[in-house]
Amino acid sequence: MMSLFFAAVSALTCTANAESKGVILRTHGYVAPQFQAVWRPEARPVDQSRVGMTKSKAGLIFKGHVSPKWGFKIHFVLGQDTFSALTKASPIDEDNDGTTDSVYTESKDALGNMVVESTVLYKPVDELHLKLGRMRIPFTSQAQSPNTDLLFPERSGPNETFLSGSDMGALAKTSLLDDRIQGSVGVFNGTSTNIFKTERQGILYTGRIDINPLGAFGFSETSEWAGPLLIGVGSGAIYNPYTAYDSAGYATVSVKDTRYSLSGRASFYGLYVVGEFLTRQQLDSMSSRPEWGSGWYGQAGWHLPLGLEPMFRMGESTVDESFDPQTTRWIDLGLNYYPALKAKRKDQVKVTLHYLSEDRVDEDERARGLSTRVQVSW
Amino acid sequence: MKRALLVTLLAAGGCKSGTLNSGEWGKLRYFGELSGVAPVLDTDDDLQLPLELIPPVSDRSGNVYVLHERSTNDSVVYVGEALGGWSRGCPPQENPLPHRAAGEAHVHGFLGTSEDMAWFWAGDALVQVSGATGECKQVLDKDPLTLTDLRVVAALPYVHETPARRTLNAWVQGSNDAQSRNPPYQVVVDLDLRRYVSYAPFEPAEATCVDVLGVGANAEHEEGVVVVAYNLDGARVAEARKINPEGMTTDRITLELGDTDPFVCDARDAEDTPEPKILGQLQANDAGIYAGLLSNGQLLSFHTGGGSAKDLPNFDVQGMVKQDGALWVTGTADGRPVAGEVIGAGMVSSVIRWKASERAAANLQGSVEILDERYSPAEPVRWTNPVTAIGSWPFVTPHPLDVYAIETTGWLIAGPSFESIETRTAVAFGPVGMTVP
Repeated sequence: MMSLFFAAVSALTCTANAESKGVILRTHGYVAPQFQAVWRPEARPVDQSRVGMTKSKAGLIFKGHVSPKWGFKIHFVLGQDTFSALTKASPIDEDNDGTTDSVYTESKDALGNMVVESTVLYKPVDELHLKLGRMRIPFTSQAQSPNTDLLFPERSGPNETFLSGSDMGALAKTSLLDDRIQGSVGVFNGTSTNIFKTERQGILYTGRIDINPLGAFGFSETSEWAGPLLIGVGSGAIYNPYTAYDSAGYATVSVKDTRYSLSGRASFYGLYVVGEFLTRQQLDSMSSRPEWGSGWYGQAGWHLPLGLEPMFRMGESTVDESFDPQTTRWIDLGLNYYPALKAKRKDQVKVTLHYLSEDRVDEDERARGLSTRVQVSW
Repeated sequence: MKRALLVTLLAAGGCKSGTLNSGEWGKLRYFGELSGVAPVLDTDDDLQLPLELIPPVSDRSGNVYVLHERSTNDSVVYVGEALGGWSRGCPPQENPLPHRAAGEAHVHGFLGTSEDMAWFWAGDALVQVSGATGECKQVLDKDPLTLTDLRVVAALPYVHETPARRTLNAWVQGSNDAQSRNPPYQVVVDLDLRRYVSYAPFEPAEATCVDVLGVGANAEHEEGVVVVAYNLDGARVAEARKINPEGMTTDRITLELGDTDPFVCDARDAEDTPEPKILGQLQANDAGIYAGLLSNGQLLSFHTGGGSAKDLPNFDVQGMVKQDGALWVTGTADGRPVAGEVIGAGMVSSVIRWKASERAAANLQGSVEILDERYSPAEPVRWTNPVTAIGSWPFVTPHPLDVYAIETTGWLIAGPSFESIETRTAVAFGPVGMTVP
């Protein structure tokens, strides 16, 4: 499967741009093999060390327009969302007493959702874009950064705790005063909030505003190599009311899940700094037990001569604050090396050396790891 | 612009709400009719048995667990799903512990909860119950190697949970050894594998007539504690033993429980253990002082330097409660709920009225709306003057109270009773705001 995908990627790189019958199609992509070794000294022996290339990814992006106002974008990722799928399960009666003592299972690695984005774009005027389909919800600053433009190989832990993956929905985006003010509002299914396990129905509403008073300031975390001071502040909100139903199909509980984010960013001649604060509250009509969570992270990277970029990130999140708080703390250190500075984009080849640590403070368990990654994008 | 930014900042700061006020009840959920009558309505004259319930607990997903000790010397556990609906009740099929004295509790209490699972100790069984399905199973029914029928004679109420595993300490022995009061084995139970992963023999090995008097835990210190009495060198010894998550005994504290004459425990001798048993579970304050109520009406308290049984202060002591790191002895005085803080090396301060308990009881007066969740769809019904289904007042119990939410715990209330073969009483679960005193 992986080799087929790479073959397709190779074939398409030969025709990165194509134009026929009025359709302008641009193909982008990336391949990012990653070696990672993680140690968890307090875990079971089988979990104490994990060494391998399990975090490797490859992505392919098709982007095009069929008219000045209508366009599309499809982004596939292989390797991002894999899981162990149950392929066989049989009851075991070890002592032949007619009862099941254990269950024998077999499982295989399977691909989860390969589609990060699959959207139709409509641009009636320059200041307004409409997107329909599957996309990442622009709740945080980092959620708006493309996969290839992240400082570290993965988004921060707090960001993924509060919202991960992509979702189906519709989003209206506006950009005013030469991108000094950017805003978006949208409605989504709510599947990326990780709360839809059983019979639940609802709509997720989202909104975000970013203000860049000194000029346009994109969300790429690695592309600000030079230039004057840029700053940006932003805030996002998610409101997700939904109703849960029992197995007979009757409504049992109405739930209101609200999340906020607040971000600040700055770049100055190669130095890029970003920090975000996130919070969540979920209330329901049954339990009188609110679910509160909060988190933050800050990260910085600095482009130095010879294509070197040292980087640092720290973050913390606490969930279940109203009854049994569980805090997780992350510290990441690393160095990016850009060996192809003369390429069309300086970051088209990126070699990353990354030290990662995760501390489950309340559970007293630690994980430490090292990873190296080579990312080639086109 | 400034105004918009201010509103955004306030919103991002998180306006946290949704908790209950002290004594205020949340949604009351009627889940079944249980055998017995509410303890406050039980009189010596009638032939009814009181409801035997302990305070419910909740897991991280919000599922609620109710444990009922039936008059048939077994237990049933009910699970209330976080988003509505209840299980029908699961009996784990446990047996009573050998040498159980008359009037001694069969259900020893909940041991801990996890994401969607709870564990409890009832009779001779350590039991897991699933919050997702309501299914319950004994965890250590048989020795995995010898297939010996195991008795769990102590299960410590502290589940050590990490992302990789969940473990708990217990004392186990074969059924014949339990009958003979031989020394048990101290084991670390992997709750996911449902078997023990390490064991150590009881020390001293020459101890005889070993009796477990009770268990407790201090989750902040990641330790469990077991109080045990045994014969050694012609004398009776009582000890509290602290055990860490790795199954190591980190401290042995000598206790003064009265008579030190050795106990003759012939296997055929039906005489009760000479030492009083601990009611509910031992609890500890932030200073590391453990305390618990004894079945003879005394208070047992101890710390690293030692401990003893003490006569109780001048009120009817019925429970223990821990909040904000402080431990309180609770009960009634002049018919009203009161609480006194455990201070110093285990002394009890002068008691004060427990207004939260009074408010919770007062808020049950009159016609109270209950959500009948026995069948789908759930329907609201009304009960007139329901009462506490546990103890004499809300929150008064020797078992630890669940931290359901900030300053909120879960409690059970009793509604109307029905006469069938035995008296059955409608019982509902409800979250309730609680402060101490």
